[in-house]
Amino acid sequence: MSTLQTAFRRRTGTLLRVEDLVTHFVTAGGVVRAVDGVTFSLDHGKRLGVVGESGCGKTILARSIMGLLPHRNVIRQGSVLFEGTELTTMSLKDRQKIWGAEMAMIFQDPMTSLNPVMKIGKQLAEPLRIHLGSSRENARAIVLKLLEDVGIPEPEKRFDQYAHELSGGMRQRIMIAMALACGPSVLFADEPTTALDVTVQAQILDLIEDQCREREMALVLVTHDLGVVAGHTDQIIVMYAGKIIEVAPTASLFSKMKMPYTEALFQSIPKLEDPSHTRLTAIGGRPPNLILPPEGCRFSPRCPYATDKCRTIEPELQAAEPDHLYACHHPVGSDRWSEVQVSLGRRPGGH
Amino acid sequence: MDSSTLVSVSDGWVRTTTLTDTATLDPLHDEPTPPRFRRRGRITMWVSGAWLLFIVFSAVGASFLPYVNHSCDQFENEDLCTTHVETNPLLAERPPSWALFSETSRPVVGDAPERFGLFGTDTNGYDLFSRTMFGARNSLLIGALSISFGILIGGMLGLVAGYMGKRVDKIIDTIMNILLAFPALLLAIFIVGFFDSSTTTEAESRSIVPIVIALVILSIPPIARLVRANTIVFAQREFVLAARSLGAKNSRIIMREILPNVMPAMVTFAITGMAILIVAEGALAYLGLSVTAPTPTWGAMIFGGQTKLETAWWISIMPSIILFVTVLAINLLGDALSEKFRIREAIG
Amino acid sequence: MKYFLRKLGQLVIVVFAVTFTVSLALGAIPYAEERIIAAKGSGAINEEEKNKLLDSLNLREPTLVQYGYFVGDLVTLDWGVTLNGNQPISSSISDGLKISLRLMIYGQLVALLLAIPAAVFAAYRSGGLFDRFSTTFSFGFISTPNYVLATVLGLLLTVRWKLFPAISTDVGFFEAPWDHFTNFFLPTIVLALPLAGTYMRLLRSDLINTLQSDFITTARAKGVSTPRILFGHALRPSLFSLVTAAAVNVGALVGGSVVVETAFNLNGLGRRTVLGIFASEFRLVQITVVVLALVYVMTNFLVDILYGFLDPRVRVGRLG
Repeated sequence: MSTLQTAFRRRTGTLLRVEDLVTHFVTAGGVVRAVDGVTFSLDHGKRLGVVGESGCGKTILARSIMGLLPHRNVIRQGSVLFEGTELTTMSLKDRQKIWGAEMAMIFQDPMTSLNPVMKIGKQLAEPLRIHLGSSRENARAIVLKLLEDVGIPEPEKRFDQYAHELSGGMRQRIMIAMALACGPSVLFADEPTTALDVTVQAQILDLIEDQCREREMALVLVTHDLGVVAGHTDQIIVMYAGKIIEVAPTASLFSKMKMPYTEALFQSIPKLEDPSHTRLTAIGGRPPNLILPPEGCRFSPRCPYATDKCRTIEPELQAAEPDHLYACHHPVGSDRWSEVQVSLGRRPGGH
Repeated sequence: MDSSTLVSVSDGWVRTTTLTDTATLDPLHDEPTPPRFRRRGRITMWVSGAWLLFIVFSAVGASFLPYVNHSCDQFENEDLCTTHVETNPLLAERPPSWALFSETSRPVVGDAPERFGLFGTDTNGYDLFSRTMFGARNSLLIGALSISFGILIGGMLGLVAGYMGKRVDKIIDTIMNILLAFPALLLAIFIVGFFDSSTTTEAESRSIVPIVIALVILSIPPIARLVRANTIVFAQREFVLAARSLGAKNSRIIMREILPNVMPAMVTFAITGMAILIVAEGALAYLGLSVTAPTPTWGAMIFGGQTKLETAWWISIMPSIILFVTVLAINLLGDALSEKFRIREAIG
Repeated sequence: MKYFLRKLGQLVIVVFAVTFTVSLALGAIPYAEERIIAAKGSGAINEEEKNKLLDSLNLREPTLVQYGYFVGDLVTLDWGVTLNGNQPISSSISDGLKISLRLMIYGQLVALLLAIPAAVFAAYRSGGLFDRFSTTFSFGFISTPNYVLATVLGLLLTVRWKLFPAISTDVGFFEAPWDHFTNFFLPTIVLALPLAGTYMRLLRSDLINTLQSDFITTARAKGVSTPRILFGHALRPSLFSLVTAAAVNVGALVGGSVVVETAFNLNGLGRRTVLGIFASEFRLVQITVVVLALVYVMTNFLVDILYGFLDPRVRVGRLG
């Protein structure tokens, strides 16, 4: 479908449907199960957060959905329906028509994500010229407008500069402008603020949110930081060792979290209401080995509530509420959970 | 020859830039290396190693190995029989025994065979295979000696330049630039010619000394540059800074802290460099400037058969093949080693 | 600008050192005078001519004065004549330079035309069939000394099949295009194949590194087509090693293709110099070496400037 049509279509209903997606890498050391059966869907204009430690497969998930990963030595299964079109079986040529036009992506490190030897303006104009067939002058005008939209001063001057002449925050703004250029219906943001100064992080997140709202664009925000997704998403997916272990609307995840892992993530970020010098709890143990994942529940070796059942039987996703799924034998609030909380000397119940 | 000298210059450059490339080890962010490819690499490494072992073994043992034909009977003076290869004028210019498509242009007298040996014979009736094995002795010796001295001098200069930096670095860099500005082969010819005229008269055979000196001078600048680039990387590492802050002497830091780390790059370079220098000696021989007969080198043998290409191709071609295979084996081995070091560096 | 000046300063020092060494080298050659006289044909000239000849070479002056005269002659283009045949040295050098430059340009062009597409395709599908095939071949090419290649190709193509003349003659392109082609084909191939192997390996390994960069993923995510990613995004930042090697070869090949010139009997600059050394044509050798050094230094200087074009970061001195 052409981009113009999408721009005028009413954007409601399911935009993206991911069904049992599997991405495994074949390496010399064994098969790395980076994404291991992920199912979820995303509606038009909604903002989804994907949270997990580094190495849990969230970046690979985002790239698998877009189909950006190399073909060789990769095992993939499952389906990705984008606006009703199956992406996994689509040819590279057809996917290239969607990339940048219908779905766009911004990356973690703006220092390395821009071509060092190509002028900013040319890089920004590229998607316009490829997908919309814009003329040079036309593209230039659109790019200047885009640069203004993402809050870059002196767009005319930036147009002829190179990436190394700009600051990190500025470069991430350029990346955002580049992603927005063709008016995609979904934006994947892969740790967009991790490499930036704390002062700039909030600005960039606000910019992404503003632009999403303005352009009725869906957002998939991938991050390790629960604090980042808290204010900027409608729904959150928590991933661990290549699997979804909890899905919930943002508000209910924070108030009624079910997974011990989510709880651990939550306890590892500082909170405003805590008295100063409160000790943050780190998650014990090492992130799981994706080549030989632990038997049973994959979090069990690091979970304070784990029982023998956890170490042998893998929990299925179950619904706490219609829109809140989790995969745990002893979720937060269960008997086992309270028991351990007491033995740890904590007051059970509530956060 | 010149082109290959430059391979190494730039090769060294490439290696130093890829030293820190850890990306290939992260299975999540990169295309993993197919296991099949790795195993194939190991096989080529073994085959190259085996070939080189055979050549070195033959070169060292040429005077007593059963498969190398040798005899000093024709020489009254033992010193004169430098090649030790039996000659039989009745068997001049015989094609290799397997080359049924080729015939000798010389008359076949009596019951002397039409074809002879694995490689055939040359104009004087020397068995080419045996001569090639004796040639290996000189070619490998010249290559090994030149690269050893080259590494010693060039390595020292590179270490000092990279570690001291500033003015010392600038001076050494300028000297290297000046050396490089002289056309390499002309410089070598000039050096060989210079020693020639000052020490020997025409009748005497040329020794390997001037050739080694010429090749050493050629090999110094690229080695110095490679070592310098690597040294700069390590000179800024924590362990060097720590040693320095503990008051270690510069010479000690260079020898104990930096040298062991620069070693892998130097060893890899020494291997490829040796191949280049063996080829370079051949180029000198091709221009008539290497060790003179009867002492064979591969280059001299190839050059010697040039005029006979039409009637006796094997005189040039057989040593050419041996030279090619040996150089290829050395290059493959060097490549495999550099790959290995690169991975170890990335992990460590 | 500072970068530019520093490089220029270095250039001057190198040129000075080369001319000085070359001027001095004459004095270091044993029996230089006798050799020159011998080359001239000692019986044929009388004492007066002999003195005149030696005077013109300033051999008996102090070193520094000799150097002064040498540079003076160089700058005023008063290069003298060859001992044998009285050909002006300037015309001998320019004749040789013409052939050598031609060989160099053909060789480089063929090498780059073979190497760049091969390297790009090999890097694109690294580990694939074409990559393994071309890597093996480039290894073979690199390991083939050019005199071996000249011998083998000479045997097959000229001695056996008589496709090309065994001895190349310098036929101009405009006079006889076909003869020009047949005469320069073999020397060019012999020169180009080992170069192509080197270039291909350099570019391939740099390209593989570049293709793993984040900005390539960015370009992919923008929907840029594969050929455009390879040639538009990845090629330019990967050219550093290739440009360095190719540039060094410009200088090296002008004087350094002696082997190829000898193999095909082309009277290029390198061959003339080698013959000059054997024939005690010291003046010719001295001046040729200076000319070659100038070519080398100038190309290096130009390459340093080209780096700035390849990577804008060099211009602000972040990499330099």
